[in-house]
Amino acid sequence: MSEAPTRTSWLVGPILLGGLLSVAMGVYGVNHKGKSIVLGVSGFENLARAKAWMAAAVAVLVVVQLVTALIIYGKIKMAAPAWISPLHRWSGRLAFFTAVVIGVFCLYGVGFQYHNLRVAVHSTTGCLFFGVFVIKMLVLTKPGLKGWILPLSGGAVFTLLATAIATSAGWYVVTGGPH
Amino acid sequence: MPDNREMKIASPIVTLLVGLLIAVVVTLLSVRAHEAAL
Repeated sequence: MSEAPTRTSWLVGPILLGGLLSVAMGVYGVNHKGKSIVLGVSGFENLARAKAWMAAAVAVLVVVQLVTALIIYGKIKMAAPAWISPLHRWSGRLAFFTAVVIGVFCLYGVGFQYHNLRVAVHSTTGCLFFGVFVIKMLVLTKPGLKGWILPLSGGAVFTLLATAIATSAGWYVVTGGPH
Repeated sequence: MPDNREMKIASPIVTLLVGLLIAVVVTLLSVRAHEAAL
């Protein structure tokens, strides 16, 4: 027996939950001024370097995410092998778990910064990424939603995370960090 | 063994819960490191 299509209004709950998370992270970050002291990551001379390398790993996984999604949706013309969907899911999980660690380092170790455009964009997209990721995960639990919802939420997750990485690790690699 | 539909529901929830667990553990360890440094 096929399932009835799910009303789009079902999305309200996940969107509220994800929105609440993003706002809560932002409010906490604005009110908490970190001193760059977090769980020590051995092998790195400071927090910024540790985050930059971890973000580089996330960036690689994010590229895998994008490519596998394009293959799954037929945008890259090739026969999708059976391992493509598991690769998409697992690269996404690993990217998310690593991003969580970086997010804690950023929010607790530094806080929500907005003294220039780059850090404001990074802080905002970082908080939004986690909220939108929650929305996407909850959307996945509901079969029968309209076909555009998953690509839209996946695209939003990708854009936010890529922007957060570009305005932090990307900037760090290009400029060598603060002088 | 849960069927495919149950796995499709459980898997994203488990991902979120594992992420939450990682966040809690890393935060607690960071708080300890911060207090130790003071």
